[in-house]
Amino acid sequence: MKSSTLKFFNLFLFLISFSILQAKTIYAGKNQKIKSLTKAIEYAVAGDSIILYSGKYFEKNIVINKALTIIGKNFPVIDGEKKYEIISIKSDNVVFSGFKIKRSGYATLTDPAAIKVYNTKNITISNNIIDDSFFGIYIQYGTNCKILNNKIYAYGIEEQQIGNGIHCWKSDSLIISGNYISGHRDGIYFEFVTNSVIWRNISKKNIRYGLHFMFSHNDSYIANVFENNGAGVAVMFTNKVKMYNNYFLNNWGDAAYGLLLKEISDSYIEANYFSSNTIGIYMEGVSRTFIRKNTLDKNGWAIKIQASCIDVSMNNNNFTGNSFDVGTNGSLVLNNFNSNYWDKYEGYDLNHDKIGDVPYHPISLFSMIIEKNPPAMILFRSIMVSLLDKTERLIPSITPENLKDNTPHTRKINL
Amino acid sequence: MKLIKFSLILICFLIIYSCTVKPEPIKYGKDNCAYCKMTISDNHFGTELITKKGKIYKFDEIGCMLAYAYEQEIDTTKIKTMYISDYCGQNILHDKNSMFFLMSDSLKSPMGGNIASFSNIDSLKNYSTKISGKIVNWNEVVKISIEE
Repeated sequence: MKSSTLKFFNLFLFLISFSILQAKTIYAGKNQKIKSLTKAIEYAVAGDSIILYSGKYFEKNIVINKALTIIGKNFPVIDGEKKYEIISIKSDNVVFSGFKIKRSGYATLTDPAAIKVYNTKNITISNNIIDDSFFGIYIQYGTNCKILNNKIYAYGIEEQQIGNGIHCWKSDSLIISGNYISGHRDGIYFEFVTNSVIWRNISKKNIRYGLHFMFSHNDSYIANVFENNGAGVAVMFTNKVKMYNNYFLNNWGDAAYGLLLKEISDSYIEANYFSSNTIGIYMEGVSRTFIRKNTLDKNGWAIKIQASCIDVSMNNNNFTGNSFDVGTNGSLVLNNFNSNYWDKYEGYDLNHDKIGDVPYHPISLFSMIIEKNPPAMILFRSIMVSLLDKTERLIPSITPENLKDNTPHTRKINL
Repeated sequence: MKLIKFSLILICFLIIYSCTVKPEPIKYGKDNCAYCKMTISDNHFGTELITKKGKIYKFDEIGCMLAYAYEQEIDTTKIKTMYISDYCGQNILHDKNSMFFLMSDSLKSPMGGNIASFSNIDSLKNYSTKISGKIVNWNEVVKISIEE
């Protein structure tokens, strides 16, 4: 008798402790007791989970100020009616996943976003669809945040009327992976973001840049696709950035670049693929940077390197089908262009070591003329110009004599 | 004879008129900043520099214009005027001498200079209470931009 009471008492204690420790799951939806996400958040305590069932919700300024896991079932739609910021995350340790968020508001000073993260850490934003918003996902002063597998669409026509897809500002240790972004001003925007990874995203048809990178040190971006953006990708005023295995495709236009580098140092650009861009890589003020094993195919200019670049090593790259291989604006050359494959190389290889015996000068006379006088482009491929180019190759006069590949490959390098 | 005189005067006028330099409106989303090479896209911050010969350089913010001018990319003695957008004006450029400046991190200008300019002192005061900025004069703007 006594022992059974004790047992019962123990069980009772156990159950009570269980119900205290156990985080609860709150179900919200049109057919549930709790009708809206705002109500569910109000009701929840830190550590709880909220599941919102599918439906259309007109809620605005939803502030997540507790550590919650919030999951949408079958993509519930939250509509900001073009007036409000929709989700504001102001607590650490939040997971926000599986929603369709539409039409966030427009404002210039406050930058409202579909999902905005304020001064917090350990946030995961995953598997959401963000449609027709001003800014998509906005992180300011965030640490250790993950933005995974979101689809972000916008339909911007003019730059000043649309924000960026994923906008990160003064943050650290972010992982941005598997997202698809189109139609925004810049697909992904980094300013003062450190120690972060951008991995396997697709950024297409954005009005300005596919990726825009400023004052963001020690970051890497790997295996992304940047296609058909207004002006390509810009990486500026940054140290120690690693760019591996990315695709830079179809960025055509007067001032469009596959990759625009300005004031970059101690960086690595390796195994990328640049195809069909007006300028494959544009470099200004770049120093101590390795550009290796890239493919530069069918660009207007494969490389434009300004005289302000120092210690850039371009080795083992394939240059094929470009109108101009290299363009420059001065005669001072402090960079290394050895051991690349150039499809315009016309030298010979007597000892069959697959290395050409005479150096290759990748700058043509005509590309120097165009640099100074762009309308001369109209004469491109005329007999006179190709004759001039041939003589210049033999006896360099205007083109910088030091800009040459001493050991050009005679076969395309297997990358 | 009268006709010739008249036409001469007319031609003189035309020549003089064509030499007076006016700011050219910035085509947002199309023009590029001469210093940072970015596409100029934020119409709150666009600026323009005109040389004595009439050559026009466009920039995406004050910081870029000053960096371009003072890093000897062009001869500073050859600068005629600098034009700056009004932060709350409809894409209109004003002479720098007629402007008031506000500095605040929450402005988020394209290159992080974070200086907005206003042609009207009242709108400046209005904004400075709204976003807690610091009101600065042109010399301070130059000093801050070049130090950065």
